[in-house]
Amino acid sequence: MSSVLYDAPGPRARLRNRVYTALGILLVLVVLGAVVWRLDFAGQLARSKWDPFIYQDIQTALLRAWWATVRVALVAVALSLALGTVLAVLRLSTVRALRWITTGLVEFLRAPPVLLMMFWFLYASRGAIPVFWCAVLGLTLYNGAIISEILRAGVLAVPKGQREAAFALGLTSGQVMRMVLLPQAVRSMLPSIVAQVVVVLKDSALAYIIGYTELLRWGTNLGTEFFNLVPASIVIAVVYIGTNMVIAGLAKLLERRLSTTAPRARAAAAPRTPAQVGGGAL
Amino acid sequence: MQVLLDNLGTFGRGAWGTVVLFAWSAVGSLVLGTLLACLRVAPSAAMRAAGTAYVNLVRNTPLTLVMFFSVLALPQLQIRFGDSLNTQFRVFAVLALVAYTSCFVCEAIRSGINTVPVGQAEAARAIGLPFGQVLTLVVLPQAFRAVVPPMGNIFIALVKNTSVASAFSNYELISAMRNLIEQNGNAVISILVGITAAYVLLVAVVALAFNRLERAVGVPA
Repeated sequence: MSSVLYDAPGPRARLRNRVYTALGILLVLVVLGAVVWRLDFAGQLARSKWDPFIYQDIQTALLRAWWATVRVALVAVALSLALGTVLAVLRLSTVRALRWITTGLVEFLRAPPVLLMMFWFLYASRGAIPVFWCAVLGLTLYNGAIISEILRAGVLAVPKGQREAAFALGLTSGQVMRMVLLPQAVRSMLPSIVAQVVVVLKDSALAYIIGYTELLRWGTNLGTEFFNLVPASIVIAVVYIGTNMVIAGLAKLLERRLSTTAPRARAAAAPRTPAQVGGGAL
Repeated sequence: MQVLLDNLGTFGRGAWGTVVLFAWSAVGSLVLGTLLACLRVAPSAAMRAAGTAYVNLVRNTPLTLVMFFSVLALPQLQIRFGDSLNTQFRVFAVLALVAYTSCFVCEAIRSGINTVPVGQAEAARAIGLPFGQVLTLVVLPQAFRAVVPPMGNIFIALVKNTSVASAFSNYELISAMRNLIEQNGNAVISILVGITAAYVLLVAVVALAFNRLERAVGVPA
């Protein structure tokens, strides 16, 4: 990228860059300083506001709240993988009616907000479905549709010869899909799928709004108890960012390990990065 | 459906709230996202690092938490906007949506800069333009044209993300839905269908607008 925008700097450009660097560092320091000053001014840096986090039972509670969040995400990921596979297979089916119905369904599921989908289950069941499952099902419907799009792109990117060879061997179309196309699609799309896991984990915070007790709810409870809402939300942010960065790192690692083996599928799939497939990465 | 027709006022007020949140956040995140993208390709390492750090931090934080911080923490830091409480909450929600969405806008523009042929920037430098002009006069205008489709996806997601604001004292479609359901417990399904239809419609409008935009200015593949 840098080669697009500038040449190797000469002596004057180097000097100028150094000035910019100094200005940049100064700007960051000023912003950070302003935040810290504001926090301190509002009394948020006082020992008493941060002390609760060194108590062991609060740390265990934090861990338990983290697990409540991760549990929603894990169950939702497992279910959306299943739903996504089914939808992808149906959408690639040879029966035209099935294709049309599934296409319509996938397009529809991508339109409403995940939060609204959670409310569907909560309100339509009149509270008969526990909030945990409302959250999981809402996440599943949306992310299942996104994962089906990712898998479909992956299947379409498998070289044509694979399918033809499999049919030539006498496999049925179901077998071709199950034994030849899908395994290769999953392999080439694994980075996008893992990136979608980050999205699910982030969206699991929506469960807070429908009343499920997870990280954020735990934070507000703690915050009202110890009058340290700001420190609590900072701690929660750190936990979320940490967890997401580990998963994102995992995705990058997978991508690097798989990149030598599936260059063609990846190239074909490249325009459909997770951010684009659904806009869902948001 | 009778419920929706009887409560068209509530429904419309909710839809209007969603549109207002979307419009302000779209403008704001376009501006902030472009600035962040400029930071991320700047010649100075410190500026690049600052841009990267911001994007990675905010992008990995759930929007609910960003808004939580904005709505509940900013007032505690004695940062306030406007006199009326309604304006206050709206500004906080828009700030959160802008902070969050601009990360994705920045990433889209950055990938757009990569699609601009190297010769363009080289030619711009050859006629003596400094970095700022290379970026603003030559590279960015072409990059914008290349990123219309991903930008469409980002703004579609933004329409949906405004729903989070309902939990933070903003009146929009979800709040209207909860109001209506409280008052009409016997017509839950039609209310859910109506609100869903409203979102589908809004998303369709944004998608259509971006399709048109792509046909008008997009770079053919």
